[in-house]
Amino acid sequence: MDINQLKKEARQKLKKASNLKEIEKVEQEILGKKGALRDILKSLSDKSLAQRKKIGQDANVFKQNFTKELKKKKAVLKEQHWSRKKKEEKLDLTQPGQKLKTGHLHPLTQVLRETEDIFKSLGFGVVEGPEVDNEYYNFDALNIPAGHPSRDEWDTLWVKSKEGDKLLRTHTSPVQIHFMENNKPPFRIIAPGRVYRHEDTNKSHGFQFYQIEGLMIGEDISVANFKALIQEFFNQFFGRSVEMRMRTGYFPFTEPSFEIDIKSKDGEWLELVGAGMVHPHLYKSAGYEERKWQGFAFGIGLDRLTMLKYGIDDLRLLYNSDLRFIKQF
Amino acid sequence: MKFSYSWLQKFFKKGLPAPEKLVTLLTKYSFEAEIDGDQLELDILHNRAADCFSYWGLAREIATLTGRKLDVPDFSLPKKKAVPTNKVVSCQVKEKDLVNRYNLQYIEGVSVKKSSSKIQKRLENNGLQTINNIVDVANYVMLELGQPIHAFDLDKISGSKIIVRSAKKDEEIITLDGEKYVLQKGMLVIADKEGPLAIAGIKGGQRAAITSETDKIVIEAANFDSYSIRQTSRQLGLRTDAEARFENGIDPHLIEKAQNRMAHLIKEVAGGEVSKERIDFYPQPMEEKIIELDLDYVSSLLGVKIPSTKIKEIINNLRFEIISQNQRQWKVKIPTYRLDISIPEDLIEEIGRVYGYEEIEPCFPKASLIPPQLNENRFWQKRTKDFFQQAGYNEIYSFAFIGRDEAENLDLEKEDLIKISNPISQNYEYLSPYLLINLLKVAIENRKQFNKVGIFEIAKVFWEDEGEQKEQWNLATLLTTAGEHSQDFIEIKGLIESLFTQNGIKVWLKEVEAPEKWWQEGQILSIKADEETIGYLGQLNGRLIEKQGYEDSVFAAEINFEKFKELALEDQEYEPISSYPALYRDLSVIVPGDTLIEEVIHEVSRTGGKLLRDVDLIDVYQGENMEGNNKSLTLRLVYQSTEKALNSEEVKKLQKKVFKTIKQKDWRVRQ
Repeated sequence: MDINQLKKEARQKLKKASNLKEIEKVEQEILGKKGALRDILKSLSDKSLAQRKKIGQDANVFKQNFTKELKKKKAVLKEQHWSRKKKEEKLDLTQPGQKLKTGHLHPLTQVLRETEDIFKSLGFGVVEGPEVDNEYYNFDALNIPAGHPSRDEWDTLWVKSKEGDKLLRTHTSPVQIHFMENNKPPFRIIAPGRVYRHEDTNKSHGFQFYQIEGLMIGEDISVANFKALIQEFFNQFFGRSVEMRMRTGYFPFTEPSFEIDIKSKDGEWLELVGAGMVHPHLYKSAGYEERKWQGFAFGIGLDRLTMLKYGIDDLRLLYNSDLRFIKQF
Repeated sequence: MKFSYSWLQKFFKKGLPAPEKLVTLLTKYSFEAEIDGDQLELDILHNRAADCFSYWGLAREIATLTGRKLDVPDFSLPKKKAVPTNKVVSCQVKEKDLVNRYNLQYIEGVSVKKSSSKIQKRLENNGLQTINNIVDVANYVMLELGQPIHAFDLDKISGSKIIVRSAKKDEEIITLDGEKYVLQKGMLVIADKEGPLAIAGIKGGQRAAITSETDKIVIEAANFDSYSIRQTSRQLGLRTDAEARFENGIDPHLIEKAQNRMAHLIKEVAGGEVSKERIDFYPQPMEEKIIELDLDYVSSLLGVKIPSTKIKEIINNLRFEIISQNQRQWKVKIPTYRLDISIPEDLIEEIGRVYGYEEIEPCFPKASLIPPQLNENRFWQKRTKDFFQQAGYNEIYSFAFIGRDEAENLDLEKEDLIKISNPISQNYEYLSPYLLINLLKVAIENRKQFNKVGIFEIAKVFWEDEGEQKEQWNLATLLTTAGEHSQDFIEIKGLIESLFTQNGIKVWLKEVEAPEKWWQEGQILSIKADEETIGYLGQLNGRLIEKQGYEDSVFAAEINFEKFKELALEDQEYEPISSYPALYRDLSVIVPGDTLIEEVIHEVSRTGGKLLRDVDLIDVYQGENMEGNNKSLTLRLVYQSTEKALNSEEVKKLQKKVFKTIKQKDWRVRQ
């Protein structure tokens, strides 16, 4: 084949090529290592010097031009390819997204986490204690001796044991004593957990529920300190400045004792926290030096807090495990 | 307790604040108060019952809060006097430990009739029945002053002798309202030689009751041990207004006031002559307490500097007496009616509440910055709960109890369960030893609404071990789908495996016999880590589930969460990524049909040693071309070193070792 034939054939082939693959094939056939142009250059050895020079130049010019032509056609085809692809793969952007199939954490878990996080940010550690406990920790150590009329406030579920009567803790306050026995002040802790009462179940009571106990002891911890911390907790928890009321209360394990009410959005006072300054009897129970320490303790009903947060009006919803309820959180 | 606003007003010359204002004031400073019609409903705190469980006491409290002057009731005694009480009746207190004070006053020549309408109305408004003028006045004084009073007909006291003693076993008494009570030893009674006349501090008996014929009466005002009265009342299931006052304790010095007031009122409503002297058993007269008050401690504990003049004013308003003032160390005398005040903190509470907690400015504590310790249990619970939630499972808070029927149906050993002595009902008689028992109930209930139910819970479980109560955090998860079967098993198995892998824990799952009846025999795996079983995974017993009216398969796992946490806490070592190429060799092994896949993988891995980085199962074939019951497992072996590029010669050597092991196990390599 002579060079002019090659030129003609090459351009015909290029014209015919309709996709990138075909173009690459043409490139190989004409300009490739084993391509037609190479064959022509190889066959030059038996030609005269002048002819060799002429054909050589001609071939070079063709190579340059044809390379450009190839590139140009490639670009056109690429453009065609993308515009076709764009059309073919156009998505219906109005179709609904696929739902992520995650489960749901119980609202009590979510509120407890939030509460723990707030108190942790205020430097409180989180501790726990047993749910089946001795009468001593649940009552006596907390200055509620047998026969104390205020024991009626805690209707108790009892368990027979060879080590004397045991009980299901009626509040999280015994964790105070367990913790104090093993730790020296200063410290600040919260103790969340499940508690039990011998009570009928209704919209606002159950025989099994959750409390969060708090305890901070140091050398000069005061009522004013408690006020600041509990106010901070409410503000963070409800995400707004909450109006709070502190009034006289009574708990055998705190002296002075108070109740904290907060004002709901409807302007109603809601009793939410029982609190007070740790009673000297507890320092004695824990084996601390007399009148060396001062501190406050408080108890919050986790169920109450959760109900308030989500506007739940029936406590039973938290414990009847209805997934139609849990899946809302 | 209900209080009439108008009666309360009688104790003040000056008008009381309006009811709305009064309840706000009381709620803030004393105890919760509400308006109920023309009455005040008060929730008097236990520690204040001793001094506020009466109109007089409440008036005193209001006087403290409002600075109003109290108008004292008429305690003056009539002039004409009858013989001393001990001339007509004698008294013996046998149970000296249970009687703080016992006081009798004789009145002769009374005429018993109906009370005036004023007294009748006051009693009725306060929930008390009217009986006759004598009994009514006794109740009136109890309401007014808080001291329970009882009147006996002297002529009906056999032998004219009153004995305060413990009841005999099964001794009987018929009370004023005609009810019969069987008494037990230890219960305190007021008796004569024939038997009990009254259950001390709780209720009077019929035998010596005041009737229209009565003309000589003996009036009892006593102070009994509050614990004893409370016990008796609980044992008899008998609660009365008198008992409610005794069980919270009463000031023993109130007796003089109450007897004087009785004498005054009886003279007014029933005539008669009051005795010159009373019988008074009062071996240890109560003294006023002296509290040492450190003013610096007051401001330190309350967190506010209250001027000492203000503190003095508060103490005076409370009717306490400052008996000495040495710089900032004061001595304060507390009236006997304030039984609740015995330590400095009690007095500081009084100062704090009357000053007003509202007045205390909030102030963040000055405390050293000690980072709190990480609670590992809470940390791992959070991670695990998040894991299940992200895997599509829903969290449940189930009850910690199981019923008697359940314990029986599931063949649970009763002696291994913690039994509640006073359960709420038979359905909550034992503490649950496994979370799955209640999770199953929850799942069945929810399947009525959902086709697929996947749930989990982390909570305490309870059991008894040789009489000792144990509790432990467990994790349980459960999956059930309408109709489905094999897919659920793979899902929950994969879930549990991922849970362990993600937390860097190596576990072995091994088929075992069902450890409890609720697992399906032959469909249960133990979860082992460090040679210790830490949980089970498998299918729940279909027969038992069917009894609960449920037909679909249920797959579940229950794991000792405390062990899981310990294992997760162990250091997880980083495995370096090798920069040398891996060599892959596929291998088919023919094994008997009942050989466990895990065993084959385990044997191959073990033999391959450190350089065999991974063994993956690619295919399982069990079918026509296999001889007998055999199955063929295709494994992909990945050889890689972290130190050098392995050559095929080295891999060949290792492969030979693997072949040898397979041969030793009587398995065959398929060529």
